[in-house]
Amino acid sequence: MANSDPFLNEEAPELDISPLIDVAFLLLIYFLVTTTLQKSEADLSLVLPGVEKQDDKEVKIDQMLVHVNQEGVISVNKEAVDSDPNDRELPNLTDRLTRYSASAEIANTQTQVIIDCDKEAVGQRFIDVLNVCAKANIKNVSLAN
Amino acid sequence: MAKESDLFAGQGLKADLSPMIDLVFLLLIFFMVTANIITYPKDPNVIIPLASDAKVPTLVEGRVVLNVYMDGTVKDIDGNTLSIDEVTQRLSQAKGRNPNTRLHLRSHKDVPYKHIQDVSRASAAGGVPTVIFSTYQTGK
Repeated sequence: MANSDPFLNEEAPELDISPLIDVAFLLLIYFLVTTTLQKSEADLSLVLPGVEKQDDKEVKIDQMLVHVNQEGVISVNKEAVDSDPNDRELPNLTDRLTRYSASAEIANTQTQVIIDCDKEAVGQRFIDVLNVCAKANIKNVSLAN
Repeated sequence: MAKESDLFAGQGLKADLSPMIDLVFLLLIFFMVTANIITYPKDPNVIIPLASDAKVPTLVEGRVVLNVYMDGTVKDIDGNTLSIDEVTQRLSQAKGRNPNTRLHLRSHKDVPYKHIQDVSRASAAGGVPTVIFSTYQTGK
């Protein structure tokens, strides 16, 4: 006798995933086409002096002058520390500024680095000094006129 | 005896798509994760300096982006050349609209420092004390 139940004769339900694959392929092609390999840019910030908010309490500021000459030689308080213009890391300046930052913290004074860069020095050298300040956790950096 | 065709009746050849879908999804997730949303156009003619301790920003709101080229020319992101006075004016106007305005300086790595100094002075004159220098991270 034939089975009279209509549900038993039906095929098992299947999920049609082809539209899902279509969408996934379209998104993949979109990202493949629009993606360009680009290095992400990072920030080195500087707050210019003279316009900062003044706190009511008096803060002792211990200044350090960093001079960069036209050739890229870096001097601290008129003493040359890093003379190789191709050296990005500036080990001697890093050491000086790290110790300066640590001693200022112990003495409870505020650090301030003044960068006096020669007008013809290349921008990269100025950024190198700024980078060392960031490395030594010195946030109060200003530019000499 | 059953014929061979009867043994495989109703079992047509089917390609198993699941590994392909897995692969497509993996690629899709890779591109979605690695894609950066371009927040402002970056002029490829300005080769920015390298700095190992710079931080990749998470917030770029309130920035006025200026490009400083090798010859000292200052241009905004639309490519309009600006004089130093116009930089001051532009930043002053931006400060009026948004008090949290910051100058985002994309200066060429070999530009003489005097041009950076000029734009920084113009920024201070326009009431925008924060200058952010764009750099590429290195060694990380």
